[in-house]
Amino acid sequence: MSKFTALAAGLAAFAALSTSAFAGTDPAPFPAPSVGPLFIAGQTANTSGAMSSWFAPGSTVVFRAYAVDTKTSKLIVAANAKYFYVTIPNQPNVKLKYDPTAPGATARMPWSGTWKVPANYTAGIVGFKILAKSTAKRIGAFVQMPVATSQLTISSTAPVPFGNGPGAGASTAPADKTDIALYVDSVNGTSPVGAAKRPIGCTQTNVFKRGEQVVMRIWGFDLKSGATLSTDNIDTATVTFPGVAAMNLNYGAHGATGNKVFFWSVPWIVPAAYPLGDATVHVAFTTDSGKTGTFDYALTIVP
Amino acid sequence: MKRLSLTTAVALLAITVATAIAAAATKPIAFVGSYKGTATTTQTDNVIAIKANGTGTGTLIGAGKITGVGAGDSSQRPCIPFTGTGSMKGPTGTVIFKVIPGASSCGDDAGQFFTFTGKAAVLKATGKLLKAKGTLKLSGTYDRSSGAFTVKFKGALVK
Repeated sequence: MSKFTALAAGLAAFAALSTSAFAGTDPAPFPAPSVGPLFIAGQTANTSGAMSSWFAPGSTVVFRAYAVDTKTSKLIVAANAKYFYVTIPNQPNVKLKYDPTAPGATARMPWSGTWKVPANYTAGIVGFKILAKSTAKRIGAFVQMPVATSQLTISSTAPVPFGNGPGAGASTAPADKTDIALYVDSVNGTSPVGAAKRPIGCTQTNVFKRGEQVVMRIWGFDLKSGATLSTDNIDTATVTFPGVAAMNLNYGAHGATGNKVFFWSVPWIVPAAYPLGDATVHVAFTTDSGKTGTFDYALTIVP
Repeated sequence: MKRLSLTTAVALLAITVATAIAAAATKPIAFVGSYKGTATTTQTDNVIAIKANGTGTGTLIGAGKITGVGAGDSSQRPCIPFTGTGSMKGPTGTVIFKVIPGASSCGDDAGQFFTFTGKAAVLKATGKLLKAKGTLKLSGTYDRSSGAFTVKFKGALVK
């Protein structure tokens, strides 16, 4: 590789990290104050679609993602993607393919790829990144929210999801264009009311028992202004669980001093008699200027 | 026919003038204010007394000061609802406001860094904003350990 190529590659990598979210060294904010050329949101799941941030050596991690060109507000699909892959420290890259029906992928997160964790992979947090480039030469990167327990972690004692993830019918494909790009996930809250506490709090999961505390976490951008969604520019932000009145999302800081993460969240206890099975949670944002963005997020409730 | 046309013309002119005056009278003023300073919070049982003083600038009133007093209810979680009153004063006007119910402040895990949002009704305005009324959105942050706060106001006022 020539020096010029290496320099260009380095600059490109830096630019990529400056896009969707930047979890660099202190005091870089998360998410970044403004969106880059491509917005990317990614999750980790097992092959059943059960979201998880903890995996044991030898297991298979499904990376799934979606991306939006922030200039055109259009989704990145197979036809307009130049590359879409995951970088994992000390591992080969994982190429993502566009297939909403692939194991672990969803209509909302149609790009996916799998990584079989080597049996001897070093335990701890895996600082993976998802990188993409469109045919219009617009690039973006996704890094995990820097909240330790919700980041991809390899551990021989990794908690196992309580069941399979939501079926294909619980996830709906987004509109081709959007004014607001959203990252949505859920973690197990540390204050369940009718169920036992999990060994580790705030791990990513979309399979919950009745009585557990679901904590929805959301961040995103207004694609017109490029600004992070915050109380400065959002009029209403709600989450609606089926059969439950809409709940306002709260915007605030999380994490330790010097490593603050800002996102929207709301906790919800799964009622003791809540219907079992898949549930589609509706997330809706309206900006002060009247733009709207939604995300239908799938959960599975088990006994 | 001529008489009818004259009457019609006069009526149309009157309507036009009246409409113009009405439009001028209700033309919205885009207000933006941005302030920062120091706030103190004192908790007694579930009531949090809030006092804030800062400096900044607001549309048409110019650079100046903001003061506010209020109360929050710490029995509510995860976010604390609060109300209060305050004023923004500059060399060319004053805006006196009341934070209306619905405002809330959400703290971090340590209960030290807060993000707040809500709406403030303008009770009275003077100077260049004389007789301006309306509701402003407010949003900001408060660091309990240092007392530092920031607040932004934005919205349309009408005279």
